[in-house]
Amino acid sequence: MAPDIFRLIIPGLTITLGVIFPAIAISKIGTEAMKAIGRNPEASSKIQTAMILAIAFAEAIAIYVLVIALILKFA
Amino acid sequence: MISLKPEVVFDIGNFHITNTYLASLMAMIFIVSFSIIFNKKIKEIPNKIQTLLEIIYEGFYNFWSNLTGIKNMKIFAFCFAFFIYILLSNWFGILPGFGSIYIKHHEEKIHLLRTTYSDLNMTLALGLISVIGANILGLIKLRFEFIKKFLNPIGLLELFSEISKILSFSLRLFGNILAGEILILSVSLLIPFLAPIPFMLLEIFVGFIQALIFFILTSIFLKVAISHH
Repeated sequence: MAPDIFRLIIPGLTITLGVIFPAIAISKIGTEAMKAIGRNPEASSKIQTAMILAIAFAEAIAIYVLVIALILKFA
Repeated sequence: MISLKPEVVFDIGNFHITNTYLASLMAMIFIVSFSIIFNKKIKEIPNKIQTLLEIIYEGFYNFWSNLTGIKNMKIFAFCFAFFIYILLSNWFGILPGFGSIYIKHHEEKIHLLRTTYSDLNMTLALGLISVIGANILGLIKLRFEFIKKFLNPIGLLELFSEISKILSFSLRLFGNILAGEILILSVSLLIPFLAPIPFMLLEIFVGFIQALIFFILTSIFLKVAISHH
């Protein structure tokens, strides 16, 4: 195969494989937070803060992958 | 097409003025001039704008002191400055004129203005200020106890975690904002009319969330730095 094809495929594969696990993590955080809010609606504001924080940490992994994919694509 | 590094608009001596720097200057001038003008108009009996701003400020102060357990307006101001600056810079990036005005520089077509945090230098500067500021505050508050944290076998690991904090702060903001820029650009290449508007609304939301996350993380790292173990 020509090297041009790799230049297209590899950034695509990087982002595809890299966002699987952050997606699982975020879905788990969201599910558990909703369960917690359902069980105890008065604590929803505290749970929301912690949830957003946890999602930010999980999302950061996806963002690292995105930055690497961008570097592979453009640089 | 968008590039990872910002374009140089013009030079003053050896100092390159980039388009992201111009945008950050815009946000800074807005905040400073608004503060100066507003400061003169503060009264005992507040008018509508002052009431609104006081509600926002107090709401954030209560949220912050519940989160960290610190009751100190000065430390709050340090954290809240990040929030205001990041929020306004992100929202300025959606104004008309960003990414649509071109100028010629050395026979090249470049943007005059570009969203501030689509430049890794800017986000890295913010991350450095946040982490070093937290460490200096910890040093002032705890003195010897703070240094002792780094002087044991796990000290190297602590040092490494500080460096990784800078990295995660800067890359998170940079990645989110740059991804938004690229998203809007590619949608407007596909369907130029009306289709990018929902994505711009998404960008307003993402800009707010990123500013909030930077604010919360700075406060929590600061709380960890200045509390006794």
